[in-house]
Amino acid sequence: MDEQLLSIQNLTTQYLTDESVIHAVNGINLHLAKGGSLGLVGESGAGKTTTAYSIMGLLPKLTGKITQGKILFEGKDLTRLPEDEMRKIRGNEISMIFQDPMTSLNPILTVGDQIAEVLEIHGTADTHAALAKAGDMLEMVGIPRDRMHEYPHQFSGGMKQRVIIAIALACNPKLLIADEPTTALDVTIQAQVLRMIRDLKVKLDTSLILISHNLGVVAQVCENVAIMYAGRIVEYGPLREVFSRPLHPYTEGLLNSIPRIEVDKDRLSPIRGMMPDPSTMPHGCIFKPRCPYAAAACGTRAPHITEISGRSVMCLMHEGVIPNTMGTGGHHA
Amino acid sequence: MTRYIFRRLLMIVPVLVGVTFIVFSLTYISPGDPARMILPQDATDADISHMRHLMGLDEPFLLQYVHFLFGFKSPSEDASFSYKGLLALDLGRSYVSNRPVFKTILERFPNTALLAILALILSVILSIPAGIISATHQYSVSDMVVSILSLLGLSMPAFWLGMILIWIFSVKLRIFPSLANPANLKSLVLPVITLATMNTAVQARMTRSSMLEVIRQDYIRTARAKGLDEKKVIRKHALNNALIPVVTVIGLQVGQLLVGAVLTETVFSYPGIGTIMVDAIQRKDTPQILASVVFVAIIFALVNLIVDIVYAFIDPRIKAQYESMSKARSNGAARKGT
Amino acid sequence: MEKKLRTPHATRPSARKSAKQKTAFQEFWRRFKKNRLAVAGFVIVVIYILMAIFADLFFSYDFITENQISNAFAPPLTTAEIDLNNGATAQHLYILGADNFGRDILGRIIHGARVSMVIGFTTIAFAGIVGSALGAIAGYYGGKIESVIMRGTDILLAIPNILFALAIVAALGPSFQNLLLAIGITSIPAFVRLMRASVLTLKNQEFIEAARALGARDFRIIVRHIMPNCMAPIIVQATLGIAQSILSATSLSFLGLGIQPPSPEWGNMLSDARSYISYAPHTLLFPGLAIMTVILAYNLIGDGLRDALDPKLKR
Repeated sequence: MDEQLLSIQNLTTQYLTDESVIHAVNGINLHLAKGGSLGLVGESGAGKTTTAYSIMGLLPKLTGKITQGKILFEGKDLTRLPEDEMRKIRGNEISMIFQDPMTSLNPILTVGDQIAEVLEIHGTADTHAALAKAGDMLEMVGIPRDRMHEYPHQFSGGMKQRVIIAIALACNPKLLIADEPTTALDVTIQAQVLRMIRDLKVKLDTSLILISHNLGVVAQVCENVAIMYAGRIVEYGPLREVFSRPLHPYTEGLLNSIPRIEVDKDRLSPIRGMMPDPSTMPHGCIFKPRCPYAAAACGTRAPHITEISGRSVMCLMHEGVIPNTMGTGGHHA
Repeated sequence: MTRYIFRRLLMIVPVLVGVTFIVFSLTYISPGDPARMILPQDATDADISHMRHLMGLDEPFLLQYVHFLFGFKSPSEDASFSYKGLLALDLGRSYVSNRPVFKTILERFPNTALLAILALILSVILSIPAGIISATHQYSVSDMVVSILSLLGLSMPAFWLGMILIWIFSVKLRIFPSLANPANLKSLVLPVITLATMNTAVQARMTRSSMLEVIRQDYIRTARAKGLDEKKVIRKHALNNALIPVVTVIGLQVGQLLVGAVLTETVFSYPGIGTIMVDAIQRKDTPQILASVVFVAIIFALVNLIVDIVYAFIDPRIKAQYESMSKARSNGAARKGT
Repeated sequence: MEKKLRTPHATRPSARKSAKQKTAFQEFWRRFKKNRLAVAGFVIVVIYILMAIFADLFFSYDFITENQISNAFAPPLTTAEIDLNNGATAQHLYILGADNFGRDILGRIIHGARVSMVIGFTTIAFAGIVGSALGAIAGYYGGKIESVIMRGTDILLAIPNILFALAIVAALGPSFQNLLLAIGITSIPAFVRLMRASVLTLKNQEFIEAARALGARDFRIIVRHIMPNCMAPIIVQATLGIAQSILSATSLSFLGLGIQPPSPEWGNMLSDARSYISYAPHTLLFPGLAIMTVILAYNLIGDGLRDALDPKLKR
């Protein structure tokens, strides 16, 4: 087996608000090999971004808290690392690209300064060399280096996202977390940015976690995929296998809701209903209220992780508790 | 940039015309008759209407406004009825002291300015750090202390605070004098505190809310994700962005300081513009009222203008907006030329 | 991050008014109630309003305006003999002491509350109505009428509030009506700007287009559809405006340009007290505290309303 770069074990993250506790991430396990790429897929509110913030140590100070579990990065548990140690990792060994490029750059600093800053923080280069390197990074993401003295508002959305990618990759990190990197961009730009992330990942030998609600985006870049639902990973496995033969009803639902040209289907079948309120989780299986295969047992018994030939799934059908009727479309078809 | 400053200067002209017009109209509609005021009690109606003629008060309203701006040549031999107008900073003489009104104003204005500048410095020194600490330590004890003090400062009438300070520090403790004058720095301590309190409160609240707003922004998260330590995140990324709106507020506050000085000066019997104004109003000294109100209003407008320009310098977005505007315009002109 | 506020916004446009707006109001009220300082402010204001309404039940107006020279500067909690109008005398407890004319300070504060509350409410009601109407017109119609209104507002804003009020009072003479007029006019621009900004953001939204497509007249659109959706910021501004207007009124009275003695007003009480700071500090202390608590209360309510109406502003 490959060397593990990142290993998340039983991670549980909560937000405390005045009225309630929001169970954003509920005991997830994830593994990422060196040089590997993992797609984290789910609807908004599934806990994908919270997972990323937990890894980065960027949870909101007053409200966000990791209550259980470990995040092992090259063997170090990031959840126990003191803040000043964590700072040396952030931006240097683990970098993150954010969802909205329009607001993710400081409006009153030039883009060159903002790229150079990350190099200076991690002592990679002195001020002069950092600026030169910032220019190189800009060119690497396809922006002429003489634009480094311009301010963010002079760039388009796609260009800003390239600048953010340049910042994230400047220190040649071991792990890049891209949180919905293309969602806020125009469709034509999305493909360019995505291709760039994929190419740079290979070129710089970086491991990648790509977060998206869009299976199509993940399919273009990732080897493995984890499907997240209501703070849990309901299915994990190699991308091709998960796509061709989903084990969890939710994955199946997600796949069925993608329009495909080659499949002759009159209508898409979206997943009915909404995700449960993360402050009040239902008993039993969290997906039960929306599951077309649900049986009585699903309302009382919470599924565990079942390993099936290198894949894992969280569903009672695979624990043998209820009959596996996957593929039949369930009782709503 | 010079273009922007020039444009901004041009924009202020209609505002000043409007302001002077309103103030002038107010004096015009005021029930007292200046001619009757300066004549002895037993003056006849004929004397009064003659005097009105000499003072130019029998002219139509708009013409009087033009006189007010550009000067008035009295048909009387007595030169004191003529004046060169607001543009030449000459609006005639005070009915009470018979001195040129602007002479008094220009003599006393530095006193008010001194008070206002000292108060401004004090309020900035206190309020900005307080607001930052309050925002970066939200819900902490220091946040609560700053919030409560600034609410109290906001709610305390300055003239009352001034008198309470006099009671404590002049009457009881005998540390500072209760009357202030610009020659004695020690006597300025209490009025400066009095004048600065409201501003400190407003600016601290503004800094706090602006800072809270900024530290929620995505680019602050980007800065943290780079591995920057929290102090530098605040200093390098949050502070400058948060201070942009604070600068505006401080600018507006400078005007408020000049005006707030009216009350503070009264409390401490300080010889500034405020006391001139209040005295003039109480004695119905129309030229002096008109001149001092217009003068303060103009200073207020000029200060706001300077703030706007400073604002454009610190925020590259506004600067760029104007540069691109003027670029577009010169491109357009060039195209027209060819 | 994934934390979502699913609360309906107070200003959500909705044709199905009843149900939605009720929940929005309940939600707002729930949030407001949780802010203990704001509730405290609310209680204080209610106390002042009750004091203002029932001032005569505590002290008669004649009593608090008539001199009792022999009791001048009586310190708080003194009992002293007072002359009644019919020539008789009575014992009276001066809870907060007496002023330089022997008048009961507590009584004057309570009657002063009436003056201040009336000034606060009438000036802001006037400025709120006039300002909102002008702002709505400017925002809705745009063009020339907007330019005229907004340039006028700019000019009014270019004159500092107190200075302008001072100029009006100087021109028209110090009287209650002129004070109201002066403060009322200077409070207008804030409402014009707020209303215009709200209307501009609303005017091209679909539900307005829909109303227009259905043939609703401009007046109806403004009054029925736009105004109710702009109320939140206007209410906040009104609350803070009342505080500001009370402060301006007491300031002008302190300068001798507002309410004239012997009418009881907190500012003119302080103006009298100024001459006796060393001699009778209680004459200075209590009227000032009265002003401060009421302004503080309005500021607390204003802050609370703003937070409750716009949850984004809070954390």
